[in-house]
Amino acid sequence: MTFLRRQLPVVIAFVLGLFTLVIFYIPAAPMQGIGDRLKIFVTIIGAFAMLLGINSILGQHITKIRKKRPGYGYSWVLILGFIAMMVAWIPWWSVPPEGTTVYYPWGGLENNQGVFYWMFFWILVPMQATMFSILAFYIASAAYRSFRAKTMEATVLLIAAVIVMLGRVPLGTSMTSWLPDTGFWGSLRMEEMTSWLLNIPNAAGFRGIVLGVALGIIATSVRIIFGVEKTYMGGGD
Amino acid sequence: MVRSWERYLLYALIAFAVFLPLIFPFDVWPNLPTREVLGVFNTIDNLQPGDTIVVAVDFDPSSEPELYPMLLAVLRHAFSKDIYVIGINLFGPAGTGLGVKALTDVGGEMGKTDGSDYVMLGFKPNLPAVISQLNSDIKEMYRSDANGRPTADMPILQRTPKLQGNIKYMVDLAAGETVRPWVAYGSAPGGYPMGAGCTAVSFADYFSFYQSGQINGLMGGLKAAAEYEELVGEKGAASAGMNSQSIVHALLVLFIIIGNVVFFRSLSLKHVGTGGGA
Repeated sequence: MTFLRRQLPVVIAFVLGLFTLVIFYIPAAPMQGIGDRLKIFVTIIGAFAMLLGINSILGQHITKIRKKRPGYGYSWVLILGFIAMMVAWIPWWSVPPEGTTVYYPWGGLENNQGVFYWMFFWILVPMQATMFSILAFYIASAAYRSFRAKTMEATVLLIAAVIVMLGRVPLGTSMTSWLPDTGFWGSLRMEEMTSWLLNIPNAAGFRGIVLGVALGIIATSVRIIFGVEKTYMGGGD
Repeated sequence: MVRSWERYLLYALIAFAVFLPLIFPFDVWPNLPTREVLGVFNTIDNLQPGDTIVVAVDFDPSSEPELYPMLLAVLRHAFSKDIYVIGINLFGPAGTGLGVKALTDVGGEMGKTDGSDYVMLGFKPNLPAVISQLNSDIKEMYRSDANGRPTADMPILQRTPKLQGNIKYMVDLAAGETVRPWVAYGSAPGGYPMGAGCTAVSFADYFSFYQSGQINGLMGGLKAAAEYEELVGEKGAASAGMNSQSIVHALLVLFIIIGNVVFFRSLSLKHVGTGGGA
């Protein structure tokens, strides 16, 4: 049992991890064919991870309903919404119209008279878009409350933010459109200052973060392949 | 400390700034195309009829207000030049519906045929593996398209069995972290140029890719979508939203200034209250 839970995953990670790494450098067709097969396996495993996610979220909400925790009514909405969307998508096997092979009388993305289409475009899309749009109100409140020139660093951040905010809208760029296109004065145009901020200090900082993340991924991958890192099996080691 | 009436006033002002320009549209401030947006536009504009591009609909409805107008503008541009489009979604299942609708609507209005001139491949999890597999064989990864039709005999995929060596351009319209995998596993090993579109908040994140030339164009947020609409010559939802966005940004700057005035005033009052000694 310990072998199945502890040693076998390490062996699989070592063999497949090293194999995938090696075939990346061998362009021969048979090796690439095996590599392609492995990629399909990864996608299938990813689909199972989604099933686990569904199981987890439904489990949490069913428990919430059973224990009547505060706000359990929203859990009903989630579960009923989940079932409704899933049922609408199932292809009920009726005679498909000419030219189609799979027919979804209730659902499908092509069937714009269907229940699924209606629920997707008239419930899900506006609700998700609204949730994201509400951010504008919180950003306004946060900008008023916390964007203070308390220190030198905060002042630099504040000035940069103001320039980028104005440089990314037509109103802002129109404010400096009377300046010449080239030369020193041209570089003071709002869109030019925005472009400089994004291209030089921002890109430099972000590149550092990206390289750091990449090195971290490489280090973690090597640790997993050689069995040093075992936290993916659950529990620390 | 913000009193509750101040917060409600801020929210009311933002709401007015968003709604009024939409209800009473005006055209005062020109929205000139930036170099980053021209990068994507010029690449597609220089393609030949019959070329194929990939448009990744890597966003879900939460980013729809910013990225859907961008998607429509890119599709209008590609279809107007008789370029074939392979749509794909590797961000989340909800993005597939948006991709199908955009391709069906724009394809329909421009007389294009599903399966021949365009196809929307559905969602698959684990994008690094999917992207690198698409470079070598599309139909092996996608046995059917987003509408459940088999891809085996689909004309567009007969012409383009794999991305590597067959497609001329790839545009990733991304709400999340999909540009990096597309660069690392798609564009770089596949040898095809790539552009990207993203939400305004992610715009700064992708500039390092643009600066290094790994992507040759970058469209950020609603402004870029409006620029693309103007370049294509068909103003839509993005152009309509530009006035609102302009006024909201100006209002945010005003809030920051007022907040700082209040802050420094309270500091000076405290200074006076404590005797003003150093």
